Amino acid sequence: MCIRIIAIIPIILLVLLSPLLIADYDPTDRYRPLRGGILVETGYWEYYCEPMIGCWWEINGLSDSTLGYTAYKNIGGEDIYGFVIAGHAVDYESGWYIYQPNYDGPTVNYVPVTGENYIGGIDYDISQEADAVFEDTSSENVTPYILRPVGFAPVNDYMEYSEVIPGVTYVYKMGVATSETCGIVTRKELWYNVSGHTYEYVIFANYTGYFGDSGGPVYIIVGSGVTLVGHVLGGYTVYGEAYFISVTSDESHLGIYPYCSSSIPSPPEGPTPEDNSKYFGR
Amino acid sequence: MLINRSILCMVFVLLTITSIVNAIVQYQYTVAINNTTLFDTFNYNNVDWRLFILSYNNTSPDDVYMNCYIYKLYNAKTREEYWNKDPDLLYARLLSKLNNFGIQPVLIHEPESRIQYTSLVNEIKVLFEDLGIDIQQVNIGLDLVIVHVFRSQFDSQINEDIVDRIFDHYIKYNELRRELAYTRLRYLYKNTCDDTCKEKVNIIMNMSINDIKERFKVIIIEKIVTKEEYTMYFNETLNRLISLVREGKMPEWVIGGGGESVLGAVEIDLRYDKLEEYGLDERKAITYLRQLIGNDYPLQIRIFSNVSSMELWTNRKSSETYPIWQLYIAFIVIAVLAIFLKRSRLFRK
Repeated sequence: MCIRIIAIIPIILLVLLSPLLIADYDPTDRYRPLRGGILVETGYWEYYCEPMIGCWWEINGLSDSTLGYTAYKNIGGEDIYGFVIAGHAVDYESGWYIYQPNYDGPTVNYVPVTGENYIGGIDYDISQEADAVFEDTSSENVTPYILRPVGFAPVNDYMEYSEVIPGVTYVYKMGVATSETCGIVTRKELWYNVSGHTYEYVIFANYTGYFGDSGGPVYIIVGSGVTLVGHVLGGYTVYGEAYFISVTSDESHLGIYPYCSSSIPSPPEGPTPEDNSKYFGR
Repeated sequence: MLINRSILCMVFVLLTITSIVNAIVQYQYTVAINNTTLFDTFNYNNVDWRLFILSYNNTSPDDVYMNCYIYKLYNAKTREEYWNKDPDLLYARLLSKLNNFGIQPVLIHEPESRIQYTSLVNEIKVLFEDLGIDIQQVNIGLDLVIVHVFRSQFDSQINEDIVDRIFDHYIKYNELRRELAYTRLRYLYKNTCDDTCKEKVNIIMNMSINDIKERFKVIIIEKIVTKEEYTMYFNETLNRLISLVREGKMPEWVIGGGGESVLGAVEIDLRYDKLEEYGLDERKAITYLRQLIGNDYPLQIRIFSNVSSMELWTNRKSSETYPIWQLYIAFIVIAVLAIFLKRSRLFRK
């Protein structure tokens, strides 16, 4: 009897896993240049020294979240490119290091800024009100696309807080925990206090999400691309409401703007985006 | 030996159950959720009414005090009760029952259709202005028109006749309707408007005028304020609130606010547990807020019991959200144990 059960188990598992195994694009893969909707891991490290042993770095915590979008800001006439992740994924006071997809450094006496997956954590701007970290990098390291389950979508434009209409604006969010889900905007608030922090330009919607989705892009689908609306903050899960931060908050607190595809001529490296005619052919 | 085999069997069964539960959880998040909103051509606007007027009269505030409409969400015991409480959630629920929503012009692909969208909105505005009703905004959806109007002498002039009059304008714009159908379906099929999607668009476009008319719905949202009140005091109230927040003068029992309620009031959310901590009841809190704000513009007050279930969605434990890896591990363990069992003597016996 037991042998029969054992024989059946793999078949049951295969049947159950089949919808997962056919997923085209995995946000937990490594992506370069960086783009929205992919896994980032942030780690808080401390440097210890003992007289007889020497000094070493030690990790004090890791957290998974989702890269929101690529952005730029203009300083003295020069555009500085970078990417945005959730502010609460890092420690506001101590500083964190950021990896995509995960920390890949050595495990003994490690130095946190080594490894191919290290993408930042030193030159960043942070805003608690916008729940956003903007990490500077070079323009070659970022691309104005986001990962969706059906492929890469160009970020063609962005929508300000004032343009979002409850009951009308229907948004999608991409996150590493729950992939792409959608819902209608139910309300928007100029400020909101969650877990002791006050966030500004907070928008509520009824999409589903979970731990790990923080920072992920929230967008509407327009034509062959997306229009960015904001990035994931969290949810009032008991009552089925989620909330995200509008791009307007990032603009006003960090002076950054979403990097849009109108300024680049060619698609990013890696798997090519799905043929648009497949989606929009009439 | 028999006991050993029983234990092993139990381990297998437990592992299988764990794997199945994990797979179901993952499946729920990645596949099922996305499919729940998939558009069923024959299941939109399937409700009895043709005209729905959402106003203060058909919402049920728990208390009204100093021009504040109070919704005690801490009394909501179920999710359904919560979503029926305040006008904004009620509105979202109404659209959800229609399986429909207004479509912003920015979502419409063809420039010509955007122009038609604007023309239709203007015609509807004129229609209402002729009745002496001030319009705030009009949103068009597939066989759906949502009109936001300011408070006026409203009840005596609006009846189901208005639906037919709006329909006469709507039906002129056949190309816009095609575009609305495409936009709606493309959106819900996540842009993969394949043959099935096109087939559905054709079905929608081939409906008879009577069928469309039967499906056609109008939602009128009557604001709680007049156009003058809105123009003069809405932004003033918001500016006052945001400056209080930035100056750190907002009381601890205020969670958030500054949004525009669907009925045009300014939204403010309060914490019941903190009010109790400060020895305040709702009315005392509102009196204090009124003094801070310094005007009488309507407020929509939502009161939560506590905010402990408000979460930030960062995962502080790596790999917890990826049960698929647990599945792989479970699968390997099962395979190894199966081989071990097959080779062991105890099984041959």
